[in-house]
Amino acid sequence: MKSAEIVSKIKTILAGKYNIDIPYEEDSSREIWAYLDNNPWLYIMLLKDIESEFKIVFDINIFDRYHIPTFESLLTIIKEKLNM
Amino acid sequence: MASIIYTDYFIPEKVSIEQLFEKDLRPFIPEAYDSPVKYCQFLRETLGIGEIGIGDVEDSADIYSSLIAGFIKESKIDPAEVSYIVTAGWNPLLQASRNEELDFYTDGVNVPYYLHKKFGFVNAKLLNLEHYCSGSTYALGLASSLLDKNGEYMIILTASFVPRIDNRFKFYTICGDGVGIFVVSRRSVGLDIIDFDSVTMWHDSYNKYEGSPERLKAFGRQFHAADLVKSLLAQNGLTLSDVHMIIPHNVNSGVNYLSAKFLGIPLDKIFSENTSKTGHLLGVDIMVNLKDYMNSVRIPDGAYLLITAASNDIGGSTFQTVLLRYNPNQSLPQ
Repeated sequence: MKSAEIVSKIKTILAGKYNIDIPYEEDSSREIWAYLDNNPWLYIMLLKDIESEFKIVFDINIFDRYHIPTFESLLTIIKEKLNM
Repeated sequence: MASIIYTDYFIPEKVSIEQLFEKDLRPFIPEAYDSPVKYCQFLRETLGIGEIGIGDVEDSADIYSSLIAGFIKESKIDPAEVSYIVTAGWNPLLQASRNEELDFYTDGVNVPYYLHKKFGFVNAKLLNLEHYCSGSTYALGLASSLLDKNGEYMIILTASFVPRIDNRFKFYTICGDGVGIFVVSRRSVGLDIIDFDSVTMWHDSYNKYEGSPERLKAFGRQFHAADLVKSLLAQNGLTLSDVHMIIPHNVNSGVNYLSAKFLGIPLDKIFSENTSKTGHLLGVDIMVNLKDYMNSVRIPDGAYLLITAASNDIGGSTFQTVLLRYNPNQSLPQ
């Protein structure tokens, strides 16, 4: 699955579940990150949604004590998980 | 070994979060949301809170009286056997009450002293543990030590009454009102208190984090809480696989998700059912959750339960955890 498809699915979750409409852009990652970076509990619940949507389980090691994944890092992790 | 022999609580009439944001909390709705309903959907999904009780701190003497009367009636314990009354939590519960039996009505009325006199707790010492969210958990830790040395029963009272409507909504939770009671016996006759531990952090600890402070606090706090749980279990020769259920605070759904991740356990091993129904009740959370959990399932003989708590006070944060074991030979606390 390509990044664009993953981002698209995440935008669908944000719109449908959280009433957050990200304007159409070729790459919406920055806009999504702006929301997540400022709302930790949205970020956390979205991680749970992503696990459910993509049928993956995030490992504890992605939650390093002092470095939380940015959205770009998260996309990489999701792609790795999907290719496993 | 001391044990919890009784737990009960009171939650006032509830309102939905939509009702709150339609009126009093409307100024807190971000511009991106054009209606309270849409914003409340966002909050329901991110925090997991749908309704809260709203009461009046001036009713606290009557509410406590009712809870204590219920305990005495059920247990038939002589009030003279009560050795400690601990009021744990927020300062307002020590203050005014409009109870008609009180001789005077002033902000200086102290509810615990009133209860002491009303119920004839003639041998009970009063202690105030002013720790916003985790005073009741601290009190469980203290109970073992104090009762082991000298005493028979400790009554732990705590309340959540938010004085101003605009203080109810934090970015990470919505606080509801409620009152709760634990009774701890010196003897092993219910839920044995096996061990207690706590860790204290200061704001300076967060300086190490990179990025959005609030985001990183959210993650960082749960890391520390998870470390504490693992450490307490290790001290007792146990692992998380030995724990039947974790009884947490009702801060929000994300806290429980992170806790499950950091502890490496399934989310359904954390009792989360009350978050949507009560919001965060400060130290009352664990009383509500423990009672409701124990009433909802049959606890296996000898099962371990873990209470986890956190408190964000001015200047820093603390985390507490209490290890409990269900004593199969005695009755459940009701």
